[in-house]
Order: sequence, then C-alpha cells, then structure tokens
Amino acid sequence: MTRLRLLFYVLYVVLGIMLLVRLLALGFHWQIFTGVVLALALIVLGVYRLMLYARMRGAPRR
Amino acid sequence: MQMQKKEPQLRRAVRPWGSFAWGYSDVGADIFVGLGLVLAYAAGASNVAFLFAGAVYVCIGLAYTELAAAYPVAGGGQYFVMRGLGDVFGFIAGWAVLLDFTIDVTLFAWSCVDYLSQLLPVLVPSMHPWVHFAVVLGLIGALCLLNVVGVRESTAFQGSVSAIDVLSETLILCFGFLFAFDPQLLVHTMTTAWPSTFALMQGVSLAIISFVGLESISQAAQETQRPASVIPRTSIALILTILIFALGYSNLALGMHPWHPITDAHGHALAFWQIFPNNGDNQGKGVALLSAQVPYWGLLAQYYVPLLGAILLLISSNSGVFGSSRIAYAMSRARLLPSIFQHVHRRFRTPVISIVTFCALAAVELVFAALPGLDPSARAVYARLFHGEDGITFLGDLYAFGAATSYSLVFVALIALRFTDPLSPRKFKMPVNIPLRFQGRRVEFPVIGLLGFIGITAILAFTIITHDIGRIAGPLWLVSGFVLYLLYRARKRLPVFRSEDHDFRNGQIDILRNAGELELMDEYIENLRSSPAMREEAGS
Repeated sequence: MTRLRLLFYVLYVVLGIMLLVRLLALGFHWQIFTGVVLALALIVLGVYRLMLYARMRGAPRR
Repeated sequence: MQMQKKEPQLRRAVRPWGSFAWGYSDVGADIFVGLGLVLAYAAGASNVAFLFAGAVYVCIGLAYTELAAAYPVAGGGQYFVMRGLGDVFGFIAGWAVLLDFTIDVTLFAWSCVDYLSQLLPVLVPSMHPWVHFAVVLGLIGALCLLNVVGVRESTAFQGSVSAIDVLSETLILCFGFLFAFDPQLLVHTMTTAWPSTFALMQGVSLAIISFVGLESISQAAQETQRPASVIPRTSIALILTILIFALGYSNLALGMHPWHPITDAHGHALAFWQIFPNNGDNQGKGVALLSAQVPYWGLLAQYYVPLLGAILLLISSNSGVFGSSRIAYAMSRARLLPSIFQHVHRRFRTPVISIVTFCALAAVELVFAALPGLDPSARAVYARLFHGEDGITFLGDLYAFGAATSYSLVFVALIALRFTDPLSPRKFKMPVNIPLRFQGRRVEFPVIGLLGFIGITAILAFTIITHDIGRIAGPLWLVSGFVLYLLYRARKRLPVFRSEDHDFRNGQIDILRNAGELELMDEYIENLRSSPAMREEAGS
C-alpha cells in the first residue's frame, strides 16, 4: 500500500513537470496561467508527500 | 470522597489517514456537483472561476487548520466564531452552517441520483421528473431513518471510498492530460468562449461550492488522536488534492478533444464544455460525462465513475444529516437554540428532534428545487421571477450563500482571536503575519486571513448580485433564524445582544487535556501564568 502511494506521489510530480513543459512550449499566453498553477500544485503536493514520507522514515521510532 | 460525574466524550480513534478520508469524503464530493454547474455558467473562464474560488479556499483551509488545531472541538466554525466574536455572531455562523448542511443533504442526494441516471436512464430528471423527485425524497427519508437509528458509515468505509476515488481521479487526469489535452485548444476556447462579467461572477460564486465542507476538518478534530499535530499535516494534503482536482478537471474540460464526437440536435460538432449550458441533466453529473470522454480509461470509467460518484455523494449527503443534527445539538447546549434540539432518543441515543427537523427542511428545499420540473405553471413563475433557474442551480445558490456567510465570519473570528486569545498555543499558524503590540502584548496580524476575508466577501457579493434565489432565500433564512434566537433568548431571560459569561480559559485547558495534547496544555498554563493581565488579576 505504501509503495502504491509513493508511486502516486511520483506520478503527481511527473505529471506536473510534463504539463508545465507542454504549456510553456506554447509560449507565454495569459490563458495558460491556471494550467501552470495546476502543474505547480501537482509538483508541490508530490514533493511535499515524498518529503513527509522520507522524514517519517528517518525519524526514530517511539 | 465524592466521585465527580464525568460527561461522556467522543472517542479519539481517528488517525492521520482517517482524518484525511473524513475531510475528503465531504469536500471531495463537491467537484462532482460543481464541475457541470461552473462549466454551464462560466464557459471558457471556468478554470479561472475555479482558480479564484480555489485561492479563497486555500485561505479558508489554512484558517480552519489553524483554528481546528488550536481548538480541537467538534463545533467547528460556529464554535470559533462564538469564541472570537460572541454569542450573536456565533449563532449567525452556526445558522448559516445549518443552512449549508440542509442544502448539502438535498443537493448531494439530487446529484447522487443524477450520477445514477448515467447508468439508469429512467432517473434522468427532464424525462422522468416525478421518478427523480421520488428517488431523491426516498434517499433523504432513508438517511433520516439511518441517522435516527444511529447507523453511520464507518471511518474504514469512508477511507476505502476516498482511496478509490483519489486513485480514480488521478488516473482520469493522467489519461486526459496525456491523450486528450491540447494546450492550443485551451487557449482557443478561453479566447472565443470568454463569458460576460455577470456570467463569470455567477461561475465564481458556484465554483466555491466545489470547496465547501471544511467544517469536517474541525468536526473530525474532536475524534482525532493528537489533533494539533495530525490536522495540519492532513489538511495541507487535503487542500492541495482538492485544488488539483478542481483545476485539473476544469482545464481538461476546456482543452480536451472528446474521445467520441459530440454533436447537437442538428448534427453540428460540439466542444465538450458546450454540453452543459442550459442542460440541467448534464450539469448534475459533470465528472461522469468527462471521464467517459477520456481516451482508453474512459472505456472503464464510463461504468464505474457514475457509481463511485453516487456513493461519494451519498456519503456527503449523509454527512449533511449528521452534521446538521450535531451542530444544532452543540448550539442548543451553548444556549443559542432551544433545548428541544438536545432531545436524545431513549433507545437509539441519537438527537432525534434535530435529525427529523433538518431532514424535513431538506425535503422542503427539495420541493422548491424540483417544482419547476414537476409543474409547468411553477416553471413559468420561476422563469418570470428567477430567470428560469433550474433545481440544481437553486440548491447551488443557497449552498454558496450559506458557505460564504459562515466563512466570512470565521475569517473575522480568526483575526479577532489572534488579538483576544494570543495565549492559546497554535501549533500551526497561517503564514505571512505582521507582528504588532496590542494592550501590551505581542500579537500577530494574519495577512492571509485578511486576503481570505476580502476574497470570500467578494464571492458573497457575487452570489447576492447574480443569483435571484440566493439573494432572497439566503437572507430570509438568516433573518428567520435571528428572530428565533431573539425570542428564545428573551424567553429564557438570557442576554440577547450580549454574550453569556463563558469560562474559555478552563475550557481550553480541558480541550487540550482531552485531546491528549499535554505539552500544549502545559505551554498554555505557562503562558497564562506569565501573562501580565493574569498577574494583575491575581494581584487584585
């Protein structure tokens, strides 16, 4: 289950980067702004959850 | 030695995933209702509407996270406002939340049937309005009965449905953005189908309904283990997840090439978002229609997404029944509502009067929402008075009004509590604060709280300006509740416009002790001891 969840966090980051590249490849249009926010939110959520997981694994067990 | 009688407490058994699932099963269902409605009104600016409402929602989420972690009690917005602004405003916030919960029951039961209609055409509202009405009414009745008997879906079931839904929605977005999304089409749609300012305001006010349900974060707080540590962690993940789905679906809807060609009655090709304006049948099941148009995954999604959506919406509808009765019970205990709402059924030990009252109100709302579909003369009256709003928009209007009202008050309460109660430890604080000195104490002014207040007030103004029904029925609900409050308080010889004396200091110590947050409790006691005001009180 944990591996599946980790896979999804990685998927968020990959999808976010891919979307960002596709949108920015179109050039700078104000219409892509919401898409850029979406891509950044995907990357932030993925990285945040991965970091949280890494921190919890590194923490000493009580 | 006399034994002290201890009041029964809610069991703290909710863990991090349970806390996330509790919030997700409530807020996560909103996009299933909101997507079609927003696409119908905001058209080519739907993603902008979701972004605006989403930005406000992030501020609301951060405010609830701070408050629920600092005051982990089940009362939610009503408790925060009562504590920050006094009894009268606490009542108004609670009454607005009650409106939202009763609308929640009807709107989500309605939309649940809409999703099922994707698989069972006999439930399509425009074709069989009486069947649709009867099934929604039956669902409300069944939920009422289940809540009276005391059956509630377990956290484990909520967790499973939430996990499947997160998985499913992520896959829909992945397949959609990989195989159907065209950024050029997005730019084209937003350029050619940009709505009027009025329609955009309508869209923004409806977009906020995709983010309602943050009450559940604080509802869960009283049953969460170590809430001050767990709530911030799960809330941030919840806020981002919901924001991603709302922005993802709206961008995809505007910039996707449908997998199967869509045509109108004359055989002309339509873009995906064009199937929503002036079509109440489609507006109630936006996610099911979108998922069926996603390449490859749509083959499977067209069958399971309507069912998954219906289950999630039914859970959310049930949380409306449960939440309304619990808030009414809490308000009654705080002497903001008559004591009849505290009446507990002898056998089932559930607040039966509260449950039946608010389910009956939900049924009345259903009648008003369904009337234009059921009776042509009522349709004519609605067309003349309310620009022909259909049932689901009627419910969406009121939902947006109730949410915007209660959230506005929560922001004011957050700012007030920063000044009046700086001693309560806040393990999570909204970012960006301006340090100030107030009555000799160091306090921090929350800048994002102010921005959130401006944003939600703007949404409240949009709702009042653009929705004929919300403009009339929403304030009418507040006024009727306030009259009830005045009569009750006057009859009980309680202060009407002032607050009763509440012992919030000892109450806060009890809250933190019961939550198992003993370090925070010690910190709070230490803060009280070292506070100059407390020393003065002790000296006098």
